[in-house]
Amino acid sequence: MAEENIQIIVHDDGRIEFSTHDIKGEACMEELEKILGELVDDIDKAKTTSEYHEPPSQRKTNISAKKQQKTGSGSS
Amino acid sequence: MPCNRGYITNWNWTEAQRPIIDLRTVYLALKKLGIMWNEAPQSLNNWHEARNSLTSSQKVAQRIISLSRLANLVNEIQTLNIPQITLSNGMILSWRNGSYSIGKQERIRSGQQTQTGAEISQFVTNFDAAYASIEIEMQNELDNILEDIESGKSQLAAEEIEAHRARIDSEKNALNKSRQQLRETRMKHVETVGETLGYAIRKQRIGKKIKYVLVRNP
Repeated sequence: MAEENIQIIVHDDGRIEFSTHDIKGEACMEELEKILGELVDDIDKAKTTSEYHEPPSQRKTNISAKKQQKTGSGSS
Repeated sequence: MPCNRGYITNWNWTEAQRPIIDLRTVYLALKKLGIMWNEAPQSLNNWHEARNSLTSSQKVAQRIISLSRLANLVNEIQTLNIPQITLSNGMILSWRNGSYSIGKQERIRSGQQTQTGAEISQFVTNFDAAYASIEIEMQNELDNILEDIESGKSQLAAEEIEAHRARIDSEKNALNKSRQQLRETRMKHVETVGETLGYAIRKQRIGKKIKYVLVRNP
């Protein structure tokens, strides 16, 4: 089973970039909201990927799913 | 007497495209957009005035005084603690976790859709563009002065060079300090909240970036 994880990058100028891996369904948004909700107002505008639409019980390791939002200039 | 029953008052907030951390850049960005900062701190008004008064037609002694004043004002502005900035267009910039968020109060009937979302979104876009452009403009201004000094092109007296350098240092330090504070606030938040939620946290430095991998403990 792939490891469920959340990757968060804090850039030099304070911008935050994040992605979730192998967290299926709405759980990933819920987890992000818990962790970054206070820092990122419009977290619900993050791009969703195929994993978001998968049921939580379904596990696929061959999907390189990513959810990402940048709260910065988007230049990185 | 009007009855407000059935209405709710809330705030619609959104974060800008980039972190808003520098009061001087905010001040100039608003000026560029033609929007007033209601009751802006006097030190910012003084800084703006001092910045505009710097001209090559000034006598050297006068310019040195202006440059020193600018450096002092930048340091003074850096100590300001402003949790909220009210704008003439009804928007508010509110300090949250190391940077400002933009919002507006709205009164809507319970169950109604927000009326201010689109307006805020449009303002955030405009403000973001103005902030970015001012940030670049200020940076270029300092870089050009420094370049002229170092190339010998400006042919300034040693005293004036020293005053220019002091001003440049104060401006750059102020911005770096704000960025560092924001970075540290956000890093601390990720570490604290991640740990509280039971994640194992791996931290890695990649160049100037810090990467966190939060893994759910089995």
